[in-house]
Amino acid sequence: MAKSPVRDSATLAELIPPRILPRVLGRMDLIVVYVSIIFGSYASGQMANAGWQALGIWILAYVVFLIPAGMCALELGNLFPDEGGVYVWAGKTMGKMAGFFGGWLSWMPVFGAIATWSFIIVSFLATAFGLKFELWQQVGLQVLVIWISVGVALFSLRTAQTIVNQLFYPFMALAVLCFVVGVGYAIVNGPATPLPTSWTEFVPDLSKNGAIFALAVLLLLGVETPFNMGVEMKSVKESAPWMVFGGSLMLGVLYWMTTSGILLTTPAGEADPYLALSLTYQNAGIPWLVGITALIFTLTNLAQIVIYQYAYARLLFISGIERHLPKIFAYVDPRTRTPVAAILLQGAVLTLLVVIMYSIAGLASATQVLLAALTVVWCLSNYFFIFPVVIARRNYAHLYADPDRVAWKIPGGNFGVWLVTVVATVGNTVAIYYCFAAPWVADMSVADWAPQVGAVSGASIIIGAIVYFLNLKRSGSVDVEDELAQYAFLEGENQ
Amino acid sequence: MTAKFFKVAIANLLRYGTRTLLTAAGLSLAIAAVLFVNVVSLSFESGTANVYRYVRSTSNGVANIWVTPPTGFKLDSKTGFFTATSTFSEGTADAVLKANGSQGLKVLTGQWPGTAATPLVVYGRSDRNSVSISQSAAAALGVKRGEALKLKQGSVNVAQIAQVPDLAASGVIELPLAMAQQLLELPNQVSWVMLHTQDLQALQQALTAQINALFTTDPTTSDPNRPVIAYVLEGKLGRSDLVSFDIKLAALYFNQAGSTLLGWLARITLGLGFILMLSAALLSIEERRREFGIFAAVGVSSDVFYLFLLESLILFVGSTLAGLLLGALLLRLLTPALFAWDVILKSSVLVICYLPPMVIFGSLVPAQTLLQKSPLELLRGAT
Repeated sequence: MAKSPVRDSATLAELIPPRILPRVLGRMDLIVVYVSIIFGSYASGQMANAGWQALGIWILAYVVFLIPAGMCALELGNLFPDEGGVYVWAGKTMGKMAGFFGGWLSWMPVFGAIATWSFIIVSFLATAFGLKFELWQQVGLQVLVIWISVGVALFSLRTAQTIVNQLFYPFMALAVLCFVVGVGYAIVNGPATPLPTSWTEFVPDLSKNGAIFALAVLLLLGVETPFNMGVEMKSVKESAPWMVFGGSLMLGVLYWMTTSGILLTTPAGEADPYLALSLTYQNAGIPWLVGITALIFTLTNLAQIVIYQYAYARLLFISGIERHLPKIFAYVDPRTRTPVAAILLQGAVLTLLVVIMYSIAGLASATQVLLAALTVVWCLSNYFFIFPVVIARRNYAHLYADPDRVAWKIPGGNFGVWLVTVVATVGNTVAIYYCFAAPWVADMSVADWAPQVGAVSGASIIIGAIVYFLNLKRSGSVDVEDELAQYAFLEGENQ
Repeated sequence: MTAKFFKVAIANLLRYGTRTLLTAAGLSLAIAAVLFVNVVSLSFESGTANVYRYVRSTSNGVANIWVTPPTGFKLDSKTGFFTATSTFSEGTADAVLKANGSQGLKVLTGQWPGTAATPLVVYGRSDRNSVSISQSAAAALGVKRGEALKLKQGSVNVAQIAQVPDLAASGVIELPLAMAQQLLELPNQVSWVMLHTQDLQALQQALTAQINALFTTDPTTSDPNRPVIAYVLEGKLGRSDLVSFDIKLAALYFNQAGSTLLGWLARITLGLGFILMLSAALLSIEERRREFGIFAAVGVSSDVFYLFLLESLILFVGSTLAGLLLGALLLRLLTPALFAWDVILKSSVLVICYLPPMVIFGSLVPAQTLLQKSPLELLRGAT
């Protein structure tokens, strides 16, 4: 029996999406979404700076963050298989305000992520054709990249997903190629980064590489994002465990292979922080592969930001349904069943962000402060799906009793839940700490860096608070029956 | 469906023709103003890019490291040329060169202390043993090739004319470094050292260990506590290097010109143009209550978003095109010196970047306003 009527009463976020959104995402689709959201083509190049110890740091980050956070998200995704993921999970367990903030904090990083990807995509494009872009070309191309991703995200989810699925396989093939070429190069010429002489060299030394460990955690963020499309999954029960465990395994193998491939062809510390997966072929003596792989990465990275566009727009959509944001964001195209207004808004804000980035005198440091702050915000949002597991076990015991409802849960009873929660919290908190303590800009001191990151993160939270309180009255006065009636014309056609 | 909406959108814009025209005219003027400022900014940025390219040229290839005094470099407002904010000793410069296998170029730069009417740039290079001057400098000083150029400490023959490009606002006089040091009265001083290295990491390690140099890829960085700053012009130092030094430098000077009063006025005008369009759209909701009420009553109210989107798109695209043409025309008539099709094309791309946010916000706001009203509410007030 539930402890309060609020916890048991279904919200609009639970009632409306299942009636109007089609269930189209299968097991493979979800693995593609999961891997694409988390895997960064730049990650291995950045991690390679730690030498072979990077492989040990990857494992540590897996153990203390990805796996526990993934388990929390998977359990909640099973318990509340609704659209909006963290928004619904936090709302059901910690109250509506927490739900809004969980969703808000989870949504904000999309701007940092896509803005960064747009930089990287244009850099890959320049590398592919051996070009050097001028300022107007750089800005224009980044805006174009954003709107291509918006355009594809506006297709029906099935169509957009099919397009990105096609680009997923070449993406994976390139990661494997990087490893194969690395091994080949090492056999012929000897490894560019000398191989460790003892296994202890793989053991992470956090006193020396604490910031790299935090980087690894940050590079594994996004585990909860696919659950934003909860009701669009054909079967959360059957597909989500494959997505989390299969996807994590795939991620681990890919990161290990690409990091090793780079280290075998490029001396530690010399890998390009963004384009290493292409430029590594220059070091390996196969320069003709640089352009080809850069072109493929241009397309595959574009596919990744398409996924970001539609996965994150679902948070806006749900906030619109619940009136925590203007109702227009709940608008779904009757033909494609896509939250058009939410996706377009993301595109508009991202465009402004890119233009503003180039309007700031200290472009480099300002961009990094913004990205670090949005990463802090992203990590903060993780608490909204880590803590709720403990609360859900207590408050929704009756739902857990139904094996059809919760097909997967963290093993080990309460001890298991607490262990996973504490480990994930520690991993997440360490990552936040290093976002402040280890400046991302080489020539900025912690004293200059930390307050700026704090100010931008704080501003994101304050803006969220303003939005929440401005819409509080409206969200409290929504008539459920009236709202359901407004969506009635979309029902029945969604399968 | 799209074609139907398109027809309705066009019909609505034409129905309130005068208002549409006035709104479009306001927006076009704003776009023209922004284009004008962008052309000025890009011309300025393009001038500095030429200077930058010149500064990077060294005797042994294109420099990829620019070592300056700890407070960095700046653009001299009189000459339009880069200048160091101070100088450092030739001894430090030699230590820098030594770390790079004694390969590189020492430079001392400053303003011609003579009597030329326009400011001229003196550019002392350690790899020169003769005097070369640009055409405009030769004209300003009234000297020809082979003639004597009068310096403080005597005179030297001009070896070449036009071998040095005319840069920014000024002509350039290239001298041997020692001669420049005498002329500018800065004995044993240099403004900067240009290096070309194949091994950035090794050079960074050597210079950091030997003279505590600070390596950066950010042109705005300075650190008075270091003896020198090394700007990395090619290559990346870490994950903060999302864009190249060139792009950062271009953005810096593009925005410097755009941050003038004129630049802000243009942006404010664009903001006002957007507000004008929004008010027109909101006003039309009141006037079209009956139409929207019927839409809502038959259950297609949500599709009204597309109607607003199309109306906004047509209005903004039309106004942007008109504004770009108007801006180009005004440039041709008012400032023909700045008129160049390639610069206008580049500026237009930057102006067009404002278009998607304006179209989207221009449709979201009226659509949200409309969604807050029930069909009954809309029909009740309809005339």
